[in-house]
Amino acid sequence: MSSFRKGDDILNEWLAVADRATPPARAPRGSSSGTVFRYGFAAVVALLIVAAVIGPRVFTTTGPASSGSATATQSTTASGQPTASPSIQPTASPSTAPTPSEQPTPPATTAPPSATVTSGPIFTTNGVASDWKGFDWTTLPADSPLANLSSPGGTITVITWAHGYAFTALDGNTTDVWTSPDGIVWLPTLTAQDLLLAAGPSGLVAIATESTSTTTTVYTSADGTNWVSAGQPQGIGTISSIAGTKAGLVAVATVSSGTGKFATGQLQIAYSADGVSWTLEPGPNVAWDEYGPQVDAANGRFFLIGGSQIAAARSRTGIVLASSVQSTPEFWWSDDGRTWTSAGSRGPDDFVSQIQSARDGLLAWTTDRMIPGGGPGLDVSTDDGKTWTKDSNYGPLGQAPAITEGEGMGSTSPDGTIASNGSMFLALKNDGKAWTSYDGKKWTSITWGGPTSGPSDVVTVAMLPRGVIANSFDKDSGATSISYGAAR
Amino acid sequence: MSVQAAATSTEVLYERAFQEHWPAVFKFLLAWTNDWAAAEDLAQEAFLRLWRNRERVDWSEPVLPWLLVAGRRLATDRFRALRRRVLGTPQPNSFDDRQRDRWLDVQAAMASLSSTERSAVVLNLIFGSSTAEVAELLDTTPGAVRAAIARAREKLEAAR
Repeated sequence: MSSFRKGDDILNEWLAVADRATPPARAPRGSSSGTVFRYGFAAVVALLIVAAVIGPRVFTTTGPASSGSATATQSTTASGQPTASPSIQPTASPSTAPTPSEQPTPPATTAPPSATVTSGPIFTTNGVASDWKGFDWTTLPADSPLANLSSPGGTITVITWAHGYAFTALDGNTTDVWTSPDGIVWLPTLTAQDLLLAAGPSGLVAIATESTSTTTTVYTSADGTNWVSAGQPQGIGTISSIAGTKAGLVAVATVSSGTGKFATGQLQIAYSADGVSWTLEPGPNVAWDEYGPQVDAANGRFFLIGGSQIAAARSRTGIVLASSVQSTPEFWWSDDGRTWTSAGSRGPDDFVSQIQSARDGLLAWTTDRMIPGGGPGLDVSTDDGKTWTKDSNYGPLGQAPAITEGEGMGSTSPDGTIASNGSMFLALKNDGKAWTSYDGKKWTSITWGGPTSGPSDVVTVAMLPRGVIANSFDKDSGATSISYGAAR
Repeated sequence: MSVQAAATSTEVLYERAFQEHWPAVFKFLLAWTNDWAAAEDLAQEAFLRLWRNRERVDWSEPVLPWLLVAGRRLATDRFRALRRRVLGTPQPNSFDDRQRDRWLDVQAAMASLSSTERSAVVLNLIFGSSTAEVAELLDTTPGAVRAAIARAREKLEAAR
């Protein structure tokens, strides 16, 4: 643990104490009454008393403010969203979790490299860019750059901008920015350990952050090929998400205030025209919860998604009787990145987790944080995010078979997957039927002809401007097959 | 494979999972709750859920993520959290006075961090998980994880 900073001594101590924990003598089996009701009848009585005394009046929510107005965009989300079936699989991807028997491992001890401008292997993705009818499939060799694309969070987010397209993808322990002028020829042009990418008024902006450091560097590119280091961002702390439109750039960042023991980190919204000089903005004046907000951009409009905290319960004397960390969904849009308007009220557990865009519509995937399995839902907007309509049938996919017991009981999920590339949506049902849509409401049937999900196969798709990458995983054999379907 | 053989097989797999993963599950839940007894209870419950679902779990996949996410969801259950806050929870019985004092000091320092911040910093800096991996486990975004880690480190610096 020698690589910990001085302030991480506490973590070393925490680990030393935690290592002393001893597991129960026997693996728990059967009834859980011994643990679930550890506090037994007294707990139930206490809860009832607290509920009766406190009542709903002391649980108050923070009230959001609003405002809003102005311009046009370019960023979109492609690919994965809530998986189709797993009745008891948690949302975490097994392959990305800490390895089972691992002993805690220290972080890297060497200073990570700064971002570098690269010109690695090129790949090409042929196909047509609109009015897809079907696909011509090619199985990709394992050493194809296209077969090794993966992205933080499991999705590829294609940004469409004045000089073509761009997205970020993981390459081992580093992240690459891939750019293309035409959606056919792709080139990795920038590499860093961790990259946030957006398209602003002057071109592409990449925020290079090293995961073991809070130091960030801004790189800008006017043509998508040549990058220039612009130094550290000014007027902003650690950037956690960024989005851009022709109106500017918006970021969510942690900003420090105070010094020494009084130092605190606050999540703030910030605006910039160039990605280098930032101005902190009040945003929608929401008390964001511990997950923090995420900024996104679609069809020329900024969106802030997340949750706000509900105040703790207090007695009339101000003494905290009980508190519970609860959140209420927040969903806001802005055209100028500075004034924000609520995208409508939402149910108490209806959190937006991801936005996908197409030429004439937007899709918002929602999640219920309190339902095991996530309870994914789908909202559709055809007025660029001002108003949203729930679609319980998940477009043309329909619902997957209901989960009647165990994890995820009572929740629904789509019977397939929907991807987007900023121009259109692609819905792939688990039985191999496929549709495209420009607005998320009117769907046109097309021929898939590629791999499909089955009892042992799981297929995920990522959508590029002229085709799709289909990743087929055989759960029985563990074999993975990656194909590119060129749209025709 | 016969039905009996399959049942025996999942029991063996479950037992193996318990032996291999209990420490990691406990540490993750200790980070999430900052409460020793609650972490023990929740780890127990997470494994109970695995036991109940042992016939439906895909054992060809790593099971640790399943356990961590199940544990986190149990920990965020509103009524469970309220119950703990109302009644309090005991400190570890197996500790002597010096160890208990040591734990209370660490617990107090970590109390300035939120559940997400503690979990993110422990998973990232101690388990060595990437921000993308942590984001999947905590059901949030890599950006939110980066922000949580930054906040956590600032708070820990201030708490020294």
